[in-house]
Amino acid sequence: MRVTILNGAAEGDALTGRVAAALINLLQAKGCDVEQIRLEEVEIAPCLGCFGCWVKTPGICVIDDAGRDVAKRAIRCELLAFVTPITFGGYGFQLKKAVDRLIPLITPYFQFIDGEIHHQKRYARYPALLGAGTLSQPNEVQEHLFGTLIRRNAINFHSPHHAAAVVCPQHEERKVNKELGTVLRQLEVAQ
Amino acid sequence: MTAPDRALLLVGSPKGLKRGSSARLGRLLFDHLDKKGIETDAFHIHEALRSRDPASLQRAASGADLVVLATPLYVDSLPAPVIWATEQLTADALPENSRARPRRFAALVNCGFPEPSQNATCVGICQQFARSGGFEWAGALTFGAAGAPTRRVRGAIALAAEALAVGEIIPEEASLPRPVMSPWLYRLANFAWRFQARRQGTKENLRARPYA
Repeated sequence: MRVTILNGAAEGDALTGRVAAALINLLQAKGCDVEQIRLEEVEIAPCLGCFGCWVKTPGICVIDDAGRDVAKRAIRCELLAFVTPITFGGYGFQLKKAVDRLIPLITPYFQFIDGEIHHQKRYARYPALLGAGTLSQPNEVQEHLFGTLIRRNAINFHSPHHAAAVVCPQHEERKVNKELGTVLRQLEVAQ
Repeated sequence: MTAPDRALLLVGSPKGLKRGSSARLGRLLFDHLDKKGIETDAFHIHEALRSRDPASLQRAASGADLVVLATPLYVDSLPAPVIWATEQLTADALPENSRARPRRFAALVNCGFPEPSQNATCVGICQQFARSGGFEWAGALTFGAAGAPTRRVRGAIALAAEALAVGEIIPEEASLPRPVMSPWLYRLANFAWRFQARRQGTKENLRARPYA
């Protein structure tokens, strides 16, 4: 299985870095072909909200920077993993700057999904979505929001399966591996 | 409840303080606050990020006792630059003298889908920011169809302004739970995309798969 990890750890965020490393180890142990993009190290400009990727250059962002490469890798993998510090229940800035640039992967056309309007698929298949978030201390509301955000993103990006895990600093290595292992099993079962 | 003396509008859209739905919705609200004698100001988040100047954002926010974020929904949550802004505006990041007095935070969130309910996760994030960032939560208004300026939308904003101007939370009756237009009709917007594509010369190519 081809896996792309979007690592949204900011400088000095050891916990999120540790989660990304644990995820890579688990996936490689399962024989996956894993690539990691450390988002802090690449220049990705904020989405302009211009819809150029839908009507001017369909499927490609009008901004020519690493955001294009992230989108290409995101659609070519079978499992897309978002690793991020949880910021008020959502993604941190580093991850979100990349996620906002993924909209070329869908078309402007609308369709109903479960009674709501969403954008139609551009590609025949989309990767499963895994969210691994870190919190400096347990927070049920923010954990719930993070799980909801992954579920909502899975709808908008037509992910066939999704799962989310949250890790806190007090979690030991074994617990981190267990949390991540559980979500990977959820995705395997779903597939 | 204390009425605000100074209110700051934070615009979270890349389109700036004059163009775009978020700025328009924010201005509608702030026109009401202006008329009630509240000193108002506006700040474009993307500009501060572009110039890597978090201090200008912190200065603007620390002088206000009511901060209102007007933002589009990007992929189910706040646009990346707005997340950057929230990280700069937590209580720890602000000057000490601005932490002593109560500050309130409200949000106006609009999405391109017809259903305002699609903004719910984003509002939850805004609420958590307010709580963690040392603000009192003053409520939110959510808009579908990019906040098209219908009579219902204008009425909701007027009600919200009445509440915010006297230090209250945006009331439940101001919320717009139903789409301002039928989601079935909304699919007609597909023709508008084709029209735009024809002008760009890409009509036959709108479903291109460059990364397949």
